[in-house]
Amino acid sequence: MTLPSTLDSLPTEVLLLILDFCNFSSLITLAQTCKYFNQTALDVFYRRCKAKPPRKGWLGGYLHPKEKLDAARLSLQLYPLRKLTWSFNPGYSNSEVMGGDFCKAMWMDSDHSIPCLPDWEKWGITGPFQATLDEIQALRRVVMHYPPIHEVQLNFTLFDRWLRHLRLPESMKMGYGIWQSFFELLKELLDGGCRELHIRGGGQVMETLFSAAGERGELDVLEGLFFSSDFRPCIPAESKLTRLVIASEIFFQPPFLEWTTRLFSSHDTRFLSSFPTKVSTPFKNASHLYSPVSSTLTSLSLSAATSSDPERLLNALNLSNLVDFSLKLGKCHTTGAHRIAFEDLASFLARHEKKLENLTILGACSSPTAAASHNFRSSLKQTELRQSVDSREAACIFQKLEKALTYPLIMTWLLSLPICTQPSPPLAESFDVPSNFAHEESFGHLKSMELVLDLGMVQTFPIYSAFDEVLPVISRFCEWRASNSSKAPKPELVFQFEDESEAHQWFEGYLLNNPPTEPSPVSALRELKYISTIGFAASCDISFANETFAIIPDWLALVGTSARSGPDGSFLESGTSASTTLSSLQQIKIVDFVDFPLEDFARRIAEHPGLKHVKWLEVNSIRTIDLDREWRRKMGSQSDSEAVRRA
Amino acid sequence: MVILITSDNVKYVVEKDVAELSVLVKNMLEDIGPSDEPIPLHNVTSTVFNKVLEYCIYHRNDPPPSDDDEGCASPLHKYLASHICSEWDQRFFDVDQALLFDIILAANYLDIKTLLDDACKAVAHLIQGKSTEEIRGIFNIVNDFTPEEEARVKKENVSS
Repeated sequence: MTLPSTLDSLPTEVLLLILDFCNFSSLITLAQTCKYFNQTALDVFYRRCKAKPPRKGWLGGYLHPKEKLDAARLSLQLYPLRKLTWSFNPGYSNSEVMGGDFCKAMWMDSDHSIPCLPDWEKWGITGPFQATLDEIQALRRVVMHYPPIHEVQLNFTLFDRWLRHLRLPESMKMGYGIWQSFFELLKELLDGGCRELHIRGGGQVMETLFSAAGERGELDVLEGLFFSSDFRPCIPAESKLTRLVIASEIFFQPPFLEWTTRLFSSHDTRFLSSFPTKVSTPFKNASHLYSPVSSTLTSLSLSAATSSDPERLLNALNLSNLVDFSLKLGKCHTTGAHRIAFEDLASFLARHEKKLENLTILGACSSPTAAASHNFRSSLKQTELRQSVDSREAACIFQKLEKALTYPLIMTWLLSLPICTQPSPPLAESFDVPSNFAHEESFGHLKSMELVLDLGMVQTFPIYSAFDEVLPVISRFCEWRASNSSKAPKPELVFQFEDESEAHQWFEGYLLNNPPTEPSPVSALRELKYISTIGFAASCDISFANETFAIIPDWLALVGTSARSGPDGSFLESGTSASTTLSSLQQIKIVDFVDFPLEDFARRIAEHPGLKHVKWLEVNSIRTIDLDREWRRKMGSQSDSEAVRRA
Repeated sequence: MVILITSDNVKYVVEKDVAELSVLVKNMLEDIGPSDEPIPLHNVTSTVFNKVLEYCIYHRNDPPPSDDDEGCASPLHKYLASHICSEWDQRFFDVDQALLFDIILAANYLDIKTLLDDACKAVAHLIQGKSTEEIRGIFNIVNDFTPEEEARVKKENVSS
């Protein structure tokens, strides 16, 4: 009998048995010995921590022992990594403490409580900080050696939750260290050629850090750390970043706001002078003011519940290829009720309008003003190709914009830009846009307008009458565009709803206004002749009562029926063939309503005499019902057969 | 009493309860019924069988492993069980590596679950705390990484 002196000459089942008895670090070591063990040992590793091996180019982290990243790194010796999803979770750090502690320290995501607290004595009070620091550094090692990772998602929300619940006595040095290495990680990612970067959460860490320092009167020490020359959130030298999603407070507050601002800046140095002088930031002396990200980024989404100086960020934004932009900022951190000045937003739009296709603005910002329009115009003039802004020739703006999602007032401002030169609309005058933007290609691709109520901080319940104000502008805008070019797409209009009862009243208000008094919301609705689709979207898991869905078809029947100037204006009359040709409405969209009575609603639309021109009902963007085929023909054949029977 | 003959023709007379710790022997005994015929063990030498016998005699009164263990034991539980090892076992497995591997193969052939588990634990224990090079040396593992792949590990070790 020959002696098997090689480990892998043992029968496979025996070998696997041995691997099952190896601890994590042994598996990691084995994985480094040869290709065979690189695969088998790591498979055992992943099986034990119930994770998928990243061989398919995807690495995710949720519950994991601290060696997991090392394991990942080793598996990647042979396989490239395309996507990295990592959720920082300090709850589970020590892999050698298995079994009982394994479950104890893990965060249950299903509910919002901590099942058991980890063993703090063993862990030490800096445990979660140290664990996260370790994770960041291990992740950085992965990133360093296996570029490029095209898509990266980093999530701090679990970490935030731990901190919020535990109220840990933090270590200042540790918290500082976390961010120092986090920025090193970011730089590594960007230098490595990352194309998509998502960052979520982390706000709680900063809050814990600063509030604890404040209580102890050590705020100076902390700021000293952050603003010292050692702390250098670097800007990458090269960039392939095209998509950036930041849903985190930390990037909108000092000291990181400077980094965010720097990341987006191009040649423009003006923003530097806007820094508060008492704070000497490491960026003031930065020799390179050009961030390569500013030219590669095409999609940017910024959202945070609080921010400290959003204007500065907005003013720094100068992204030459920005196509998608989404801004969702909550109230300002430092000044409470303060909102973004709309003037700054207008300048921002003027800098970016040329390439923008998707625009979402739901930030807490002030109402549009005449100054905003002025800013818009002067910023447009600053960009080279806009010499014509003041000339007699019409200037073309928002040529590529396809979708706009915003508050009614901002939508009104936006759409009035090209039509303000039309005869004296009172609304446009109040916005004071003296220039002529009525170039025939202005807003030439706008297909979708979505309205969301600005709930702001004052209102406790939604006031849907805000929708009414924008309707006349929309109808005049569409009419203007249709008169310019018959090829222009007939846009869709989507209303987003926040609750049920107020919404019902809003719909009802239109139907009760009969006969209509001029000017009234109803007449505005009747003017909407060039809308091809009307949508209703639920913003947060709300449902409409059946009575509400029952009156919506009547409401829809009013859309675009102004030709019927009959004194009663009832929908029954508008159902005649003369008026149906006027409305372009072809499709109804319903999005995200809970318990939507599909059959019932589809039948109501199909049967409604005033909605014969509506062809489709789209539900949640996945199902489209052909009303003619699925409903009207059926109903028709029924009545036919009845007729036959009668005959 | 059961008579067993190893591959090098050494005859062993073993008490029945000890011999039946091996599922292989147990099944054979059930098949042939009461008989004085010696049972040949083709894949086990006397050197190895001495060790196996020593183990079986020492552990003859242990509660038998329940059948459920095999199917249900999760990797995690197996791992957790790896530390439970008596002092006697530790001394027992303190043998040279070739013998240890032979014990494993014999336990696998004779189907003695507890011995197989314990021997595998002993191997896992051998690996623990060793460096990559040491493991390659001990187990004669041929490093088949390409220089580039290898370089990544090396570079990593320096930087961390």
